[in-house]
Amino acid sequence: MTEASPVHNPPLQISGLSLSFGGVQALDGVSFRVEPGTIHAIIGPNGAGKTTLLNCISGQYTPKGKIRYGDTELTRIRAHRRIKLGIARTFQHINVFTEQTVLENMMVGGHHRLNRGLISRCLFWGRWGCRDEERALQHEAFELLEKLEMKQWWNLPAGELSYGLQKKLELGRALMAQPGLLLLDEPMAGMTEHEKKELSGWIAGINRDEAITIVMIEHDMSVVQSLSHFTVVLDFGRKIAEGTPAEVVKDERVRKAYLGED
Amino acid sequence: MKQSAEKHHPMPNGLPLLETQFERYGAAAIILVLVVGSQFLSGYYVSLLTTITIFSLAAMGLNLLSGNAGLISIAHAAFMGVGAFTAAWFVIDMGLPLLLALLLAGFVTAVVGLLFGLPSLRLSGVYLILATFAAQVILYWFFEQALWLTKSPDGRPVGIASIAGFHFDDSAHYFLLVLAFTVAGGVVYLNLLRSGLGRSMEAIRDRPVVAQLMGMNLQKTKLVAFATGHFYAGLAGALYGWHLQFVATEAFNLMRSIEMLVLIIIGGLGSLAGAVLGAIFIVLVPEFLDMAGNRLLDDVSVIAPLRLGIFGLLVVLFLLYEPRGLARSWRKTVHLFNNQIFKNQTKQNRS
Repeated sequence: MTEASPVHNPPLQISGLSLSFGGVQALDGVSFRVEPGTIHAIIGPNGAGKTTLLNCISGQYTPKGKIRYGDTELTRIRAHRRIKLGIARTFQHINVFTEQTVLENMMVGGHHRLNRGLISRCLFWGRWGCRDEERALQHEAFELLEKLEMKQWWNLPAGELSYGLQKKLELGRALMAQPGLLLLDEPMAGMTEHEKKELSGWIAGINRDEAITIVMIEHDMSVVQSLSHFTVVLDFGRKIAEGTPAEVVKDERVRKAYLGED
Repeated sequence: MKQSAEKHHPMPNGLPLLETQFERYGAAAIILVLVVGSQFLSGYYVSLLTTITIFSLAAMGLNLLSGNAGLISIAHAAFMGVGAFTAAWFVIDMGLPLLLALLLAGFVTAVVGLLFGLPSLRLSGVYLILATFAAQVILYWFFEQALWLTKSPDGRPVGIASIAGFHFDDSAHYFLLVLAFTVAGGVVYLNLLRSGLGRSMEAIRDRPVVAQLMGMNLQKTKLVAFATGHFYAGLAGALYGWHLQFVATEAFNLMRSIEMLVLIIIGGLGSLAGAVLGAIFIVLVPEFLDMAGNRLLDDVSVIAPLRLGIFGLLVVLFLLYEPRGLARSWRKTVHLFNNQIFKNQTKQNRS
């Protein structure tokens, strides 16, 4: 486990979050707090409501209850505006734009920082054109690709990358948003041990160097234990335990519900 | 990963208008040949060229809307009609100069497109197509009814185009005007595609949820696509009116709208080359079939249905064997040439 880094991001405070689909109670009064600059893991069996919880924070669902990010009540902010507050995410299933190049995918992540309007995009060149900000974004995207050790594929359609690289590209795309809070939905799913190790290093590095708060859903307990500062355990939409990873795995209810012991 | 070797540049190139030297020289050469060559052609060929060029311009708009933004429309011809009739009204009834009228017609059509786009925001797929079908029917009905605008249910004559006292009585001169607008339209289309708007339209088409979470406003982007795409339709429609010197209501019917959609599918969705190649196809193939029919068969009543049949067959064959359109076949060919002609340059780039 790494040390939590000192930061200026606001904390994330979730209180009394409930959401039901038809008769199914996906979330039932979930509350917890994510301190700035920490890595928070959410674990739990399938159908426990982990992804639903992440979707509530990123804005696809509107739950009952409160999600406060600093002084902002997130449930009142429309989904496409939340990235401006510094909230970015990746997805459980691969969600890159397969026909666009790797670099274009990265540029999508920085889209919310573009300011120019329609006329300026029609013109492109000159004083009223959008060329400078577009070039700056492209340059920035390429530099980040270089850091991710993916620059040799910048001109390749993202769909032609291997599975592991596509997952990494998604992480890069989210980083292009320059987030303060990064939501990761099973970033390691389907990766090889080697890739997992590499990606764990990256995530720890982002958290440490850029002071980004991370909320992460992960099934692999060894990843959770090595990476996260705090862990929240969900089961049937309820929080059944929280604490450091070491504390959580000792919890009896957690062993029963999640680790499959009687 | 085979393509990577061919496409590989060591660094991103700062978003140029055209990617390769081949494309840059090729485009310049084509424009030059068209400008000079058109002045020596007979009226029949100039007319074909003008039609192709106008359809290319219209198709860019539809390709932006349906190809890049994924909002499939079967009402594009009706919007061309809006542009044609408004431009005629601006020039003949209001006495505005032609160039201003052309641009205003584009803006009016963009606004009308925006209005029809509003209820479509919550629709997608087949339902959106049905909504655009409704737009086509409503607008066509409007052309037949609004005689203050269209003068007669069949349309209205507009005479010969003239700008600042210069009369375009030579159709080769009018072609140059059309070409200028189409080249400008093509440049703007490429500009939009390499800017954030192109990325956001395609992002919304392919993965709306991701697009939204990346800060893209779905509704706003779709409305921009409706407005921009229909600006092209209006401008092209207006140019078409003065090309035929008659704004014919019939030229903007449902059949023509479907033809426009077929055009971009055959040409290639979402690319400039797709719009141009599709326009060449859609204008020339029926023309060739007519010619061949006239040579082979004497009975005119056989030719017309046969022509439609063969045309339909060609479309189906295309969908089966080159669903990504002519632009893709074209790109494959160009790659071959590119590697031959510009071998040295590519090597320099790599080292």
